[in-house]
Amino acid sequence: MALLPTETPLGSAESGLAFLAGAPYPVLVLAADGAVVHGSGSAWNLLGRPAGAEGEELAEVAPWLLEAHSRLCAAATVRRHRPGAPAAETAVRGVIAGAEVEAHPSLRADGSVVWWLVGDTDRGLAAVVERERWELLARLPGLLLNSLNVDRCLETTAQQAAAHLADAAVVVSPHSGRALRFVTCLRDGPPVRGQVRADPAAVPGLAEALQGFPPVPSRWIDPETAPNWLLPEGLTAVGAVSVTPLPGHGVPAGALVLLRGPGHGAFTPSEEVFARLFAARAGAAVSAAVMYSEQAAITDLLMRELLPPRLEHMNGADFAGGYRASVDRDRVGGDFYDVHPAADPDGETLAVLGDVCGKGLEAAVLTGKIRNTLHALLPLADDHPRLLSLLNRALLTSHHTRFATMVLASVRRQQSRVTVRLSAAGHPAPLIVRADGRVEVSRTHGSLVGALPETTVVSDTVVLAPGEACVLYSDGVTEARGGPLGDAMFGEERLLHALGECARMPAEAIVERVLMLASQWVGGRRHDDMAVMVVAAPQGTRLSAAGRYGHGGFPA
Amino acid sequence: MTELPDPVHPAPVPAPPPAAVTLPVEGDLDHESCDTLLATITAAVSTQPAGGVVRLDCTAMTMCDSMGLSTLLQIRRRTDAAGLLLLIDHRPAVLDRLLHLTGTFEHLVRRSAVRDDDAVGA
Repeated sequence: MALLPTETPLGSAESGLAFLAGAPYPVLVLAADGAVVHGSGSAWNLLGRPAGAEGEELAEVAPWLLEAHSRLCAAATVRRHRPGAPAAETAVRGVIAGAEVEAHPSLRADGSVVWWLVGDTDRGLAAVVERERWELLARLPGLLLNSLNVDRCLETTAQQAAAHLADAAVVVSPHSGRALRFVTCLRDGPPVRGQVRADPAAVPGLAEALQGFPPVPSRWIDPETAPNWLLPEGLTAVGAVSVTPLPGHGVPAGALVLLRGPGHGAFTPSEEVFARLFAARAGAAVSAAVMYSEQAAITDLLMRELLPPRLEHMNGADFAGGYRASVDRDRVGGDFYDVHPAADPDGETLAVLGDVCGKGLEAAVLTGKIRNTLHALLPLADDHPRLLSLLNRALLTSHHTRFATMVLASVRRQQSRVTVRLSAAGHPAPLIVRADGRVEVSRTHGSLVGALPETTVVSDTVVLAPGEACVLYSDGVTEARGGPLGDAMFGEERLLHALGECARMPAEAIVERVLMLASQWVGGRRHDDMAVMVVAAPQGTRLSAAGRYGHGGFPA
Repeated sequence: MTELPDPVHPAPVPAPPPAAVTLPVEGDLDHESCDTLLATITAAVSTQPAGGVVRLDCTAMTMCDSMGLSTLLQIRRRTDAAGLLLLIDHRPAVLDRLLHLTGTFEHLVRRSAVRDDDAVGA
C-alpha cells in the first residue's frame, strides 16, 4: 500500500511535541507518510534503535505498526471527504524485540498520528526470559550428562550459569577436603579451575551451602565481603552475590556462587528461584557423576585386585589360564582362578578355578574373601574335603545364600608324569585331554561352598603323561549361547570335541583355542564370564630342561 | 487284673492335613526374576502356620542360573526357619541337572522328600 502524500506541512510541529518527553509510555509520532516525527527516549529504547532513526528502520523493527499507521491514515483521508465513515482509531498489538506491545493511536489535526506504545513490555520481556529459562532447564541435563566426569560436569555447570544466570559463576566442588576446589567462569568465557586454602565461611552462606543448607537471600550478602579468589579474572568488582547449594542424591554436591558486576543490584527473588531450579538439576548431574566415578574407581580397584595371575611353568608342570569377562560393562566378573606354587619343588601346587554366584560388587567381595581364605588354608591343601569344609564355614553367613563353585587341583610332578588331585565343589568336572586325543571327564563331584551347612566332595586323582592336559573351566564356556541360530548353548559335547583336537598342544594353546571357539560361538552376543585353566605335563623335551629341579637328587 | 487304657493318652486321632500353599515358578529364574520370587515366597511363608507345606511348582520354569539357585537356597532357609516344608515340584531336567552338579539336590529335594513322607504319614 502506497503511503498517502503529506497533506499538511509539519513545519515546526516538533517543537510542540516537547511535552511528550514526560509521557508515561513510550510514544512515537509518525507523519502520514510514515516518517518519524518524534520519538520519546523510552520508545527508542523499546525499538532498540538509536534516537532519531528513520521510518525504514521502523519498518524493520515493527512492520505491523507501520501497516496499522497506513491503514489509519487512509481511513482518516476517507473520513475527511465522507464525514460519516467509521473511525479507525483502534489499538493494535504486535511484537517489538520479542515483547508484546499494544499501540494506541491518536490522530492529530495535521494528519500525523501519535502512537502510544503501551507495554506489556515487562510482561512480554519476562515471558521471553521465562521461555529461555525453561529451555535452559530442559537442555541442562543433556549438557551435563554428556560425560559422567565430575570435573567436566562442574565446568559445564559454571559455564551455563555464567551464560544464563549472572555475569560470572563459581562452582565449588563437593568433598573439597582442606582446600576448596572450584571452577570459575565469566560470561562467554572458558571455565577455569582453581583451588585455594580458604575457609568457605569467608563467603556468607557458602559453608552452609556446601553442607546442603538452603540458600541465603542474595540481598543479605554484602558483595564487598566476597574474597578475591572468588572473582574470576576479568571481574574486578562485584555488585551482587548469590550462593545456592547444589543438592545431590542425599549428599550436597557442592555450591553455586553467582556474581554480578556492580550497578545491577541484588539478585531478585525470581532469579534466585530459578538459580535453585538450575542448581537442583546441576546437583543431580554432579552427584551422578561423583557416584559413577566412585563406582568406576571401586570397580577398577577390585578388577585390578581380581585380575587373574600370569601363569607359567611351575614346579614341573605347565599352567595356563585365560579369561573373557562378561560383556556387561562395569560389572566385576564372577569367575576367578589362582595358582599357589608349592613351597618346595617336590611339593604340591594348588590351582583353583571358581565361579562366584551373581555379579557386581557383592560377587567381587565374595571372590576376594574366597581367595584370601584359600590362601590362608593352603597348609591344609593336602586334604581337599577338609579345606572345602573350612572354606564353607568361613563363607557361611545368615545374610545371604551367595555361593561359589570351584575346582581344586593339587598338582605334583612325579618323574615324567604329573599327578593332579581334583575336587569339584559344585563345579563342572575338569576334562582330561589324553595324548591320543581321547577326552575324559574327571569323576570328581561335590557340593558348592558358602550356602549349605555342610559340604560333601568326592575327589579324583588323574595322572598326566607328557603332552597330556587337565582342563578346568567355568560354566560360562559351556553355557555360552550362540551358534548359527543364536540360541544354542556351546555345551559340553562341543567342548569335548574341541579338546579332542588339542592333544599334545601346549597349555597356553589349549586355553586360547577354547576361549576362541567359545567367543566365536557367542559372536557379538552377551555372555557370562568365561574362564579356562589348563594344567599340562610338559612334553619330553621339557624334561631335559628340568635340571633345575634336582641337584642330582631328582630322578630324570 | 485288667489293663485299662491310660486315660492321659487317648487313642491317636489322624492329624489334619498340613496347610499347603502352591506357588508357580515361571520362565527364567535368574538375577532379574529372583528378587520377585523371594519376595512372593517370603510373603507366603509369613502367613503359613508352622508345619505347613510350601510347594514350588516349576512346571513352567525354563532356566535357572546361579542366582536362581541361590534364591532357592534362601527360600529353603526361610521355610526351615518358619518350620515349613519346602517341596520343589515338577522340576525340569535343566533344574535337576543344576542341582546335581552343584551338590544341592540332596539338600533341596531329597531331604524334603523324606520329611514329606513323614508329614503325609503315607
